[in-house]
Amino acid sequence: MQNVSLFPKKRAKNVRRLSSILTFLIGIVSVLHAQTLAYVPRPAQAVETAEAPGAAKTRPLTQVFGDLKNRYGVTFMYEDRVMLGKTVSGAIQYETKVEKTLDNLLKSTGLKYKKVKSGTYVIIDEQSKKSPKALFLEGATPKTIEQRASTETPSASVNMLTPQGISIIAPADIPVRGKVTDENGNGLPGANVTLKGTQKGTSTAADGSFTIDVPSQNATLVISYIGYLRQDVRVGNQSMITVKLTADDKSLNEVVVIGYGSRDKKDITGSVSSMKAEEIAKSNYVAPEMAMQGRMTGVQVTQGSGAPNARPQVRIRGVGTFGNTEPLYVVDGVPVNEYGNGTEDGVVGDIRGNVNILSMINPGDIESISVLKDAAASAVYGVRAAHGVVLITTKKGKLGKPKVEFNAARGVQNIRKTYDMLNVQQNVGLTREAFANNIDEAKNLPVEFDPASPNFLGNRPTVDWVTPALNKNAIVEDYSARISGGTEATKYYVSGGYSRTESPMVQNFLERYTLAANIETRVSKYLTVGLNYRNSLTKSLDNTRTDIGYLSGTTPWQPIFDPNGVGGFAPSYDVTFKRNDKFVPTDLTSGSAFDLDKTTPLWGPETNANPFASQALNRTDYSIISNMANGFVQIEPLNGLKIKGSIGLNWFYNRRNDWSDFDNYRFSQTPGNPYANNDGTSKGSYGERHTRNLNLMKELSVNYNKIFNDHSLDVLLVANQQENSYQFLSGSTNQVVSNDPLFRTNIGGPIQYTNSGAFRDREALIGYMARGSYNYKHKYYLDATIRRDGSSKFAPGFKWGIFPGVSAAWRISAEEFMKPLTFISDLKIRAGFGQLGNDKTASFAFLSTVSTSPDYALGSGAGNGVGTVRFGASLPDFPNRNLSWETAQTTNIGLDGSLLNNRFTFTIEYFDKLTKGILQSTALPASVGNQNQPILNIASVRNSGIELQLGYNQRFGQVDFNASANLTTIKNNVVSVFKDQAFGGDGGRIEVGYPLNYLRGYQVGGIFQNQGEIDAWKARFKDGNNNSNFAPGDMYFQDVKGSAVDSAPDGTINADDRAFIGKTIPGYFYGFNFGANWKGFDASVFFQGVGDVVRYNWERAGGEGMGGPGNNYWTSTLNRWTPQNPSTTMPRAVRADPAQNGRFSNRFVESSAFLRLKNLQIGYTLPKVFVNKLGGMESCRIYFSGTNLLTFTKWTGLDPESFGTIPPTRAIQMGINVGF
Amino acid sequence: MKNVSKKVVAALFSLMLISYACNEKNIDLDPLNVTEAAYFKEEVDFDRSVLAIYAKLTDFYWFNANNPIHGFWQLPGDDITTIRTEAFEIFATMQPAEGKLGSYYRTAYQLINRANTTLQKIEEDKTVYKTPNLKNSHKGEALFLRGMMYFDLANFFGTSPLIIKRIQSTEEITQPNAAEGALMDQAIKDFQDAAGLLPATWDAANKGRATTSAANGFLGKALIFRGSIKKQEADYTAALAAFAKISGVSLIANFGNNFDAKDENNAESLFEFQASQPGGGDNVWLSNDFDNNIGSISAYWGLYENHWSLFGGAPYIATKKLLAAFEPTDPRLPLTMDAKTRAITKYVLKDQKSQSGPGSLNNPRLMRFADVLLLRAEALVMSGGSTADAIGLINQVRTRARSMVTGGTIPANYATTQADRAIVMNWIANERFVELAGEEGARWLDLRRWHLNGRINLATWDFSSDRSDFAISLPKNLYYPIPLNEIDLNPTIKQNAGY
Repeated sequence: MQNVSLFPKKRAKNVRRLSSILTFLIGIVSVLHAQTLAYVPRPAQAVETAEAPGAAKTRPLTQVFGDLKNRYGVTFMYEDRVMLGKTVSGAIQYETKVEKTLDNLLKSTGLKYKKVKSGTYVIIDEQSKKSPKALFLEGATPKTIEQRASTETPSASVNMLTPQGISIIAPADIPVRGKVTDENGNGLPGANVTLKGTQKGTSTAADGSFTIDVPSQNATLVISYIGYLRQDVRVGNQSMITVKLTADDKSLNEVVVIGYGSRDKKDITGSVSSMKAEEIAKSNYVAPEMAMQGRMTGVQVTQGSGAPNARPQVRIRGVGTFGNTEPLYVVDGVPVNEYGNGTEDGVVGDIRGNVNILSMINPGDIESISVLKDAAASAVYGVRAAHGVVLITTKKGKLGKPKVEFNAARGVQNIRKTYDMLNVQQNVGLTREAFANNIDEAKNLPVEFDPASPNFLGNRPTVDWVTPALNKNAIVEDYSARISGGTEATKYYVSGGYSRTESPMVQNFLERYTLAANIETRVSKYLTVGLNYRNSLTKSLDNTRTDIGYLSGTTPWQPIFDPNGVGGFAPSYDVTFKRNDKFVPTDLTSGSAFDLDKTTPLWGPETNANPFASQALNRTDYSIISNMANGFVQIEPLNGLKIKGSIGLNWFYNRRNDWSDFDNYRFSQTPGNPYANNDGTSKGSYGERHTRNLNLMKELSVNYNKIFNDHSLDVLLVANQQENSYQFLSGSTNQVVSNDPLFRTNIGGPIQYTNSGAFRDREALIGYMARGSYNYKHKYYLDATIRRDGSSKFAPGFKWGIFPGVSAAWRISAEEFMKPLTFISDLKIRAGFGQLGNDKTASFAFLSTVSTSPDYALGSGAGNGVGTVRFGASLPDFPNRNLSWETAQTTNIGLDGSLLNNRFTFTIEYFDKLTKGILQSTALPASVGNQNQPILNIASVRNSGIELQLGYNQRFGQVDFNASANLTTIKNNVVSVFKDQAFGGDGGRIEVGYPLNYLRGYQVGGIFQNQGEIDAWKARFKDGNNNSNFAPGDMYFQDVKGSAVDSAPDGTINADDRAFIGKTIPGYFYGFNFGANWKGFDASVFFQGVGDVVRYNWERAGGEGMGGPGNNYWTSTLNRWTPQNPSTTMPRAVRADPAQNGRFSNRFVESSAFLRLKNLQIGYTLPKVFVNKLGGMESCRIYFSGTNLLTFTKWTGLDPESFGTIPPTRAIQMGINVGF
Repeated sequence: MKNVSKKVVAALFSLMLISYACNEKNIDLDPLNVTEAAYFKEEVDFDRSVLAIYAKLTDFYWFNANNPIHGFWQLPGDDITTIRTEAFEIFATMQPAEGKLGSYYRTAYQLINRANTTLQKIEEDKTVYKTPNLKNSHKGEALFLRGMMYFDLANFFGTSPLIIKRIQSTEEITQPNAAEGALMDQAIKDFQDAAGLLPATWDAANKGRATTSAANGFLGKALIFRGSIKKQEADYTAALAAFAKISGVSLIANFGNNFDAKDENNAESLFEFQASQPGGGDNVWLSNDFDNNIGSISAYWGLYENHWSLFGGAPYIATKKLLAAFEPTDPRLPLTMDAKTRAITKYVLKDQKSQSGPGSLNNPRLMRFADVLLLRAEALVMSGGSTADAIGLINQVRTRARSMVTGGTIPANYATTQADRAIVMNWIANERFVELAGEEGARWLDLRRWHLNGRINLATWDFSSDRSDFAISLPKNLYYPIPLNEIDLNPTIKQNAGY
């Protein structure tokens, strides 16, 4: 691949050693970081720096190179020993081209230069290479004067070359030659090679080779290189030792992606959590968000559902607002924007469907995920960043020969548990008891429950409705391949993947094809262009018509199958029709060909639907095509000045197809007339929905970074503009000629049976941003950002907002006085403050729109009951012209450190985030009469807490051990609300002084065991809700207060007594991980959990409700209160619940805290010698992985994380990664 | 190098293009929906605005996604009962948190909001209306519908806020209680104004819209209500004057046809809710406001017919008292209820379902001429008018019933010689009981006004409930509580006494 050089003239000269030189280069950069960490710069010594450049005087060569660097704006790299002692006398001839100057300058020194890339030259000592017996300086390392990373002036670096003084190597016993390479076999220059137990040592040459004399064969060499794991090698009888070092990702000079750039971890001043590809790869989920779960402080990921389509919920540093609190996702610099911003509720959710747009990204293509948590870090994203920013950086091609990688994984997943339900006899017993217990309703006992009736169903066998709906051992599979590589001019990356995830419920899967490619090429010294493209096709069947809750609740006597029923399924209803003689197919007002006559439920009054038949007869599927493209042009007119323009184009297309068969009504719980809106011969109805999202983003950025002696400065200016447009188009027909899957998908035909609808939405944003980053000697840091954003969502005069952010850091470990504390490798204290915005709200909420939804029919009569339907027009909004930004103000202070040679790392951070002017659609008093809730800047909420991250890695013998843990605490508190008026329902109340969305309800007092207790209670209290209509076995509730605020209990239990019964935002969440590697084996266990949180358990409220005649209940109801079994926790069974035992109270509030063994992974990397023989593989790892293997929780529902229908699953997978 | 320069120039050029495209005007987007400012440019825009007021009536009568609110008006009287556990039947368990209260109240105020908004737009217009009288008709319709809401709010909630102007600012969202009686006064004023503006009839395509007779019918009714509550004789006289202006309506031959889906808007009808089904399908789980072609515009009678959509819940049935009030051979009896099971047959016998299972096309008759005749009789009796004339009016209603059977004798006419006004008033009350049984809240509203008038005492009244726990508390239960969502969000509102 190196042949793709864009500098043909230089090719002959350069290409041969290009690879090794570039490796050298990479190594040098790493070494520099090492020096920055290891050495504390001393006060500048008196060196001859006063002279003007070019003065006729003898000067150290290093100093001259310093001048050249500044004059030509180029970078030089060399090993310190190369320059040592060398001087230049006389005036320097500065030529136009740096090469000529170098030719002249180096003539007398015996040194040579090589240009490794434009603006970068390596200075080589030809002689020393040829004479390996030359004098070595212990600890000497290659040196570069490279603008980006260098912190020292050339003269300073000379001083630093001799920290331990010069030592002459003792006479050799055994000369040993060797080579130190990286994982790919490329030589590592400047690696330290020391003789264990002595001061003796050397460093490797540009190609990674070294020579050292050792006293005996028992000697052990210690090979170390910053950024790599240290290795001990016993010399033995080898005369040529090749040592391959493996990268140490835990090391401090991990580079972290921040907004608009990346930075060494040690230089970070804001709050940023990040994770790398290796950790991401351990997640077995299609959704890339799941990889973050439990891995990062401040980031809470909840997997609400086990359905493959479902979108996990991501909350960064608590819940700051009521509506959409999803963070902004930025993929390779391009913000992802979609209609409804992830809303899954209401009409928007209905239109969007159950789709996670991010699942277009194969987690295997992700290089890193960074989460910007505070305003200082995320202010660069201004108005969209109030809920945090998730930066996803995908893998790019790297310099080197083409790398080919294959991954394959396959496994199964299953639902962890189902409910234990009553059988037919138990259910009939409970229902009869419940009716008998209510004297008013007893007469209404359905005949199906009456053994004396011929319609009695209580002798039927118990039907298990749940098991047939489970997709046991649902397949999860993922295959992907990637090819990447690059020359100095062009880097490329191509990947393709296929994955298929079956839901643990039948009739539901997601299949994804992904294709991603990126290319970046350096056209000339000044010009770079690149393109990043990603495409995915997601096909998804979403045909699960029900959930475990509904199936479990079906009266167990109702059958699923019936050989005589349509498709072999047992119908729910018997429906008869009567012919409509007035029907004219072309006149809708004439009604339908047949009208409903009698509709009789077959299995009792609350006959359930038969979803198994619906699944077989109907079909809903999705097909999503996603495209993300981002191209850029970058020019670098001066060294350090980059002007970059980019255009990003995202296009998402989502098609949903719905087929509903004519016979569906028989299996519905609410059968309608299948003859409606067709000519009486239709086989069903068919509809399509098409949604399109188009985002166009244009951006221009100017970045200048410069190092002046000890000062480094980085300035960034960005202007960007984004336009999002959204289109929805739907069409459906009730007149379908054939139900053959091939032919049933045509929309058209008689026009009166066809419906269509469309709407559009759009928004636009403009932002200007400036960021300045300054540091002095990597010791004192200051970062300041200011952003001005304009959004189309607000009224003129309110469109623009300014969002500042500032952060500072002090790397204490860089101070001289810290030097004696050698156990501290790095220590930094940092603090930040800033503001962020949020404009995620309905478009044009400041305007009053016209709705043509209301319909009214006129003209019926004289035999015509329908009349003519006419459209009305209403003004449903309550426009709020004063609507403006929601702002989040964050303050945080943190301490980052690493101890014991980076063996132990920690971060502790306090944060405080105040979200003001929260944008929320708000219920107004009903008397206002508005229909759509207005969007107001309604409240302020504070989230504060502590984040703690710990890391530890150590080598014990041949075992590499690592552990990490993280903990985030969140205190959520509503600070103020609109008009001081608490709002929200009991399931999510918003009130000053309480956490957001707390549960408000009655508090259970106990269960009346006998009439005496009731009488005693009635003597003191009155229940306003049930008129104190109690019987033994009923629950009573506590008298908390009277009608006035903070009043004393008034003896009456009514709505005034609803009080705080739990908070729904976790007080803390955490994760911890242990890993070990031993001789190619690797293992890791990862636990994750949340605590201090409750939820209202609707599952149990239904499962223990005991109210209806057609429901089934949990077996826990067998312990219900009866005179013979006087329970103190479970009330009696009673029809219609006259005492309101089921009122919204703490009866069903449960802790939803949990601890999970989230992931267990065991892998084995085959020995290289072995895999090399197997088709020339470079690497091969096989692994076993398990997800959600153990869950510890008190939650009695299916899963403490589950929001609804399909709980998260337990999965096991086997996989293989192969590299060539 | 020249080549390189060209590339750089090209790159600079493209960068300039990007930055040039960054025009700040790009965020001044216009919405893609029609806005208020761009609407009301044609007469049809106003017409649609008026139709949307009518459309709101759906929310009172529809299936409401398995939560029909019919118990709100059907249960409190002594004509309909149920063994269902419903506060409207029991009274004693009535709480502000009751969901149906909230639904009814919100719907009423949303309708008022649409009326106020339409009136504001009509007032503002100087140029659009060209068709003679159209502006008056539209205004009359808006006033008529608003008047209906205030009539109901006055009866059910007493002093909920009086809002006759569109609320547009967040400063105005917490409205105080109306003064005692102000809501009924407003209803009367709205009906009066509407009666002067509405047309006598509409063409066939617009059949079902409010007419001047409808406005006069409701005006008379509202006046009689105020008269009986405040014991003001002048109101009865004014009511008689309003009734006198009603024209073009008459009793139809068959009492049962008033509840037949195929005989809507017949000669006896003054005003009905026009239940129907939209083109895209009557989806009784989505409201009328959901979308153009989808949503529900049907009515629901499942509670009367014990439909499967009750999912095992008990139906609403006639009280024993109602059964006893009918002479056994009254032809109206089988058209009102099944004498054996007390199941209601009104609206059910000749129903027609919409495309959805539970929805019905059968219009609730909100005012029919039989009601007007009996109200007129009452006004005559109470205002010192001719008792003979009053008895004659009752007899018209009884004659129609009797005549449905050839040679029928039941119900017989009352003697017009009866001069005891209390007796005649009892006749009227009994006639209203059987004639209007189970219709849109008629009975409860009569009972509570007669109680306030002192004619009857509800504390000792036989409500003939099938529940064992029926317990009315007076005067508390003469009003429903202001719903909790208003109380929770509006600090300036006061709850009704006793709740």
